[in-house]
Amino acid sequence: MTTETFDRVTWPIRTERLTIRPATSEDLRGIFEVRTLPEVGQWMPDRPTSYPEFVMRFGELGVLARTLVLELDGALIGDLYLHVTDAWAQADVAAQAGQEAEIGWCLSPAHQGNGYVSEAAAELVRICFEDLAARRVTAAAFADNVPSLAIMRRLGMRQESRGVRDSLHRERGWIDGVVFALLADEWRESRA
Amino acid sequence: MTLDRISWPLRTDRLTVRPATVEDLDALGRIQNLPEVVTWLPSSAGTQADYLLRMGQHSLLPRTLAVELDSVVIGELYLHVTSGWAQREVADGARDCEAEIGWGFDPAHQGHGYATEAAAELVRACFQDLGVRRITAGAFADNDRSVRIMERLGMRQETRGIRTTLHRSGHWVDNTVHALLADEWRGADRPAAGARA
Repeated sequence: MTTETFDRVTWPIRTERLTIRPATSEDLRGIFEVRTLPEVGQWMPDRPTSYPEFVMRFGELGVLARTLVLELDGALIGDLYLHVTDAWAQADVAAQAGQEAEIGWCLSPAHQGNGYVSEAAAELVRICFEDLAARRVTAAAFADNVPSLAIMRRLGMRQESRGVRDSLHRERGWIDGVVFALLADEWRESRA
Repeated sequence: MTLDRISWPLRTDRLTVRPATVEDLDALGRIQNLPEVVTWLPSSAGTQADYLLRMGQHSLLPRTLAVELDSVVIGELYLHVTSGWAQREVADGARDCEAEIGWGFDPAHQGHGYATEAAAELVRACFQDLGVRRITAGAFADNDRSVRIMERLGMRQETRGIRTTLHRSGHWVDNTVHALLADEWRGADRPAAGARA
């Protein structure tokens, strides 16, 4: 359960420059304003045209409980996505399979180019592996979303999937989608 | 999603493919519970009742096609039509445009190309009769036999997930997803209608 997911971590978490904490309904206006900027919105799964529509969509998908806020000096500059699911397993060993986490990010263009997302996402990966004991972390994107793919690589993630023309973009039509992944033991090894 | 747009049964040189019915479940359950088959399935081996429970729990009968050789059921095909991934505003353009396919055959009948023959006809029906734009098939990466069938169908590997899946052997194993787009399939060199009697 996602609410329980966030309960398993002690918030807020601070990195060198940023604060990460679970989003509340009070943050939705700020998140909306970032996500509806064209540079950001072009890669998002939906593009709500009004604030009420955006909030209702959050409710419909239950994503508030999967959303973390990124703060710089007390100001909201973006958000992180964290969704914990059961790992794949054959039915008779499913109880031993543990969990994996899908992560994502979104940053106000005004703050891009300073490494904030990499800094926050690296901490998010640590949270997944150390605090939540996930065994695998994944992130998905449109293949053309170059800045996002660069972050995945910086996090040490490997590309596992490139779907050829498998994702329908509202302006670009059918384009490629990618999935990157990182296993807990790979992550530990890279830090050793 | 209705499969009515396919004129059943499908016939190939040697095989007949049609939607499975309750009468087929004895034969299909027996095949699925064979050790050589179940080792590659998401499910556990079990009794016939376990098999039927699973078919009910996941509503699998409408996605199951029976494959007959001389009127004997020798295996099954899986066909699940889904929507493609799309941004929300253009989701209508991706509705019911993909098919996930799969297969499971009685090991007693393996080695004759039956699965490839039946699956090739299913791919044709998906693209020509259902009008999907993309077909996918997933497997454990070690399931060589199944991966070879995907390759013979002209599918490309799009995903290799490293140690993504816990096998009942206790090992974390790789998974693969292969895909084929309608325009790739149309452009491919295929033996002309060889599988269509």
